[in-house]
Amino acid sequence: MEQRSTPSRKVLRRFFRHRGGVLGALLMFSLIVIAVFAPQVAPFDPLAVSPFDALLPPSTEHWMGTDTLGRDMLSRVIFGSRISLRLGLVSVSIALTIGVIVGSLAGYIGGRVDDVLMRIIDVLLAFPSLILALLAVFALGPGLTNAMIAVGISAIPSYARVTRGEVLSAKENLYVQAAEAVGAPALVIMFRHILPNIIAPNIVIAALGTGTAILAGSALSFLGLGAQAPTPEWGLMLAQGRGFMQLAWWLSFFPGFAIMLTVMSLNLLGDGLRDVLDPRLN
Amino acid sequence: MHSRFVKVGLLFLAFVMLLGVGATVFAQGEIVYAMNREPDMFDLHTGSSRYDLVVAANVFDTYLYLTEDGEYLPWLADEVTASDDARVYTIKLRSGVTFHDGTPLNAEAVKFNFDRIVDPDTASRAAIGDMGSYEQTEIVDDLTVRVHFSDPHPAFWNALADWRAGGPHSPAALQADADGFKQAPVGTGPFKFVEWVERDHITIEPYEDYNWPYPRAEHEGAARPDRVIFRIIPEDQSRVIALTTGEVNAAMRIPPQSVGELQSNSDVYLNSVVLPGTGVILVVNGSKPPTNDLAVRQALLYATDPQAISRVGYFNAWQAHLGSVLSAPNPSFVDLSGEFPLDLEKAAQLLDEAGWVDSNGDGIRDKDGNEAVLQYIGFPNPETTRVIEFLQATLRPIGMDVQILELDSGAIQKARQAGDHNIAHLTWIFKEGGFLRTLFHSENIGTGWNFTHLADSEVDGLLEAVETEADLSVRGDMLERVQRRMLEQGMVIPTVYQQQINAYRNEVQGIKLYEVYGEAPYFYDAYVEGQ
Repeated sequence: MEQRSTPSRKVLRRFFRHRGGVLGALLMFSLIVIAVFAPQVAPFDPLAVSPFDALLPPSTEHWMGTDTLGRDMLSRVIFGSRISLRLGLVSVSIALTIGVIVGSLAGYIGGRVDDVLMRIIDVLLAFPSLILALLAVFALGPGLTNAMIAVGISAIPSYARVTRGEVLSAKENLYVQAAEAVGAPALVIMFRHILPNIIAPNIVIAALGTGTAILAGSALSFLGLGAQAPTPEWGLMLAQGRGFMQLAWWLSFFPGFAIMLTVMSLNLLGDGLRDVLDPRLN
Repeated sequence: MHSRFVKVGLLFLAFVMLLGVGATVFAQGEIVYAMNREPDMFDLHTGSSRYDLVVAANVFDTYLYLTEDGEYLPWLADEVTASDDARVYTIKLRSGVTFHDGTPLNAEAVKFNFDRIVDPDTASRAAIGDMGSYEQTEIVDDLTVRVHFSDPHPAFWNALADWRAGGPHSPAALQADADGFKQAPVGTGPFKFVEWVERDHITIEPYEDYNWPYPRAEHEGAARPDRVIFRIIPEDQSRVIALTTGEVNAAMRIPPQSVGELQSNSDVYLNSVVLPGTGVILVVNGSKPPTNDLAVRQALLYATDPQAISRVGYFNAWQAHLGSVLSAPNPSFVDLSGEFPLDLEKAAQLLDEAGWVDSNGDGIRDKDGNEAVLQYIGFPNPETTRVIEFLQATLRPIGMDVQILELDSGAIQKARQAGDHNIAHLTWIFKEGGFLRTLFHSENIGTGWNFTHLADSEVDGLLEAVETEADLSVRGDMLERVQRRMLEQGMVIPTVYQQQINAYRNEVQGIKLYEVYGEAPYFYDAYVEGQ
């Protein structure tokens, strides 16, 4: 109740006072701009091979050096942002959609449905998410799309659990009981009355979860189960550089740094959102 | 102030001592050899992993010893003679040879070994290929056997010099516990098996009674090192670092990019040999579009340059492949590097003439609704990945593309057998050219190792004839024709020879790489200096 009556301007003001959140948002914004305008920003074609320029250290021409095939690392890292962001968004969308539906059904209908759905979620929750993603990739086969689905599946439990809890408490609210009393259909109650009120915690989890998803996606690619060569995917680039740690540190350093920066900015943003949106802080 | 210096000094000293404890302290005369992959099993009759042989070459001896010049020298056999039609082989054993369990190597043991390989219960994966049309072993006397084949089997010479069929396993040990033998082998070799701690190490120690060294050995009697420990270190960089820091004193499979770095390291030295076999080749699927078109396959040959592949993929540490399906160390190898020289214009012209044009403007040629996009299926190996990425970049300008799919070995085998690929990675080590039948005869399409998915009657006929041709020079001619035909038909794209690059710390001396099967090290003459 309290939260719904809070004007969005107040939320924004609170957010702008959160330094970490603002920093995260700025970093994310620049990353998105870079990803969107990658063809304009990148100095070279990320796939253009030039064997005689292989393994050049960072210089004014190649800011992040070149890889084993003479491809410009900066351009590859820039194009990699597209893949990582897409991976984060797609897998979180999958997890969010399925998680919220499962959680709402379990929470709102209750009884047997709740028992069955939540036991399934408990089973999924029993596995560490990366193991779950690995299992999913083994079932689906390697590839970027499959990695997105796998990472998405592995994140479903957290959304489902939170949504169920929120629905259970929202169900007890007067406005829901009032809607039930006037005979509103269950679907209308769920989508019009309950859902808007439980979305805030899910946004926070989604922001934090995008970082986790990007990390998991990179991990899968690092293991050779996600993006396939010559895709400029950060995890894959990291893996390709690991045989050259002593010879050409820039091969692994820059993709690793990019992953770190992205995940860090999403974590900062997520923390900021949580502090602002968490009704308990109001 | 003074006491602080003392404290810092003491701390530093403690740190240094800790470091000392952390590093491996070698026992006297101990060789620690870093391997990149763990062996599967040491029952060589059953298994097929090449990594089994790295250890097994020191636990088992062979009847004959094959030299680089293709000569068969006596070893466990004093003499081997073959009938003119290569159907009957008489093996006279050296006397006084015993297995590590004390039982003698006699005619009975030889018969037991050959019979066991062909026994369906053994489920032999590789050794059975050496046995051809084996009928039976006849015991002539305690140290003489006659081995009978229903068809001529000239490749048996080679089998007698190979550990799988030609390295006698102790019958007593196998009869007592055949399953246990896989983890604890008993042979006649210079070293006896001690222990295998999975995913960590395997230890072997000299067999005290040993006195039948291989013909090229430098000393007699028991093996020199006190112990050889094979450490399993799969990660390339970790293996190199373990060697440079002294955690191990020998390492196999040095990654190509580390060769330069190790060459300039004065604590270590390198040993590199070209391995026989197919070398690293790309097998082209002749039944799946677009590579079912001969013009596309030949265009691929004009577009690939083994020299550039050696440079880009292997930093020149692995040499360019100049042949087709056999490597330079194989007898009957032919240099075919002049047949399809790098010529992108010629490649484009071939594609044009065959009707492969870019009709929808996407930059990729097409014909009859098929895009000129090649599906590559291979192992996740940094060198081959680089090669394929390079090939992809070379092919784009002439309107072709490559899709890369890297799988684990189980999935890869299924995909290659099903023909999901246009080009697939293949590499196999063997000296005997007759082995090509396993890889390229059409009888092995679908369930075996022939991934060309192309039944070529000329290749089939030649490979069948090679198997039973007793005249070695006629055989050589046939093998030359096989190599030529397979390249002309674009069934394979040679890239580089397989190279075994080992590195040792200076104090370790005398490790020999078996001339024929370079991946197997002989530790018999090896020693650690200063100990």
